Amino acid sequence: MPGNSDPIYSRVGKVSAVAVTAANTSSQGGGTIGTDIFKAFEADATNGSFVRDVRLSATASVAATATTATVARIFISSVTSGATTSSNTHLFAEVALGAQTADQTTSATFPIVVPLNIALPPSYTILVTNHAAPAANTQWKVIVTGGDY
Amino acid sequence: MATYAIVFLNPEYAGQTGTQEVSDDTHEVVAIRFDNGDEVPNEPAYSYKLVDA
Repeated sequence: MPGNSDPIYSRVGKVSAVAVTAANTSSQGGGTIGTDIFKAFEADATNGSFVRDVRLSATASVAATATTATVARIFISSVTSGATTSSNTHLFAEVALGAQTADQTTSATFPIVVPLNIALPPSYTILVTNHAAPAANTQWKVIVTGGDY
Repeated sequence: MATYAIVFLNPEYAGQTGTQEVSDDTHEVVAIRFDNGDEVPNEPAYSYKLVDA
């Protein structure tokens, strides 16, 4: 079968998100999805998906609450649920999340954007962790934008 | 220093509780401790969440 010589475009846009609510001190991809490693994006099961970027935003449910400084880790995984290991979940990027005072009256937080611009195989996932637990009444919201092929 | 109650999630420490100590000035984590005051070792890697999260 010859290789594809035509550019491919996503069929439909896709935006998905998850809140990181726990800490995971491993950078090797081990954890349990939904418990300490969080699924931000799952590629189309048939054709895969294009992923443009990952955006992390500091949020709070109580006004003017400071987030805890930590590191966010973004993984590419072949696993969609349950346990992950270093053999199926791979560190793609780390980014420092400095403390921010979220949910203020007159000043805004700033998001942290990690460009990916990659094609994911069918049912592959983007997983995210934080090294430290978020402060009470705060969480980092992770939004992934792209499109399904 | 702010201290938050935590519960560990990974199998090695499952069900155990402790604290996360966070600096008031820098908002960085200073220490993770078990309830007995011992610092949690770096190995094995551990996961946890705030009790009230």
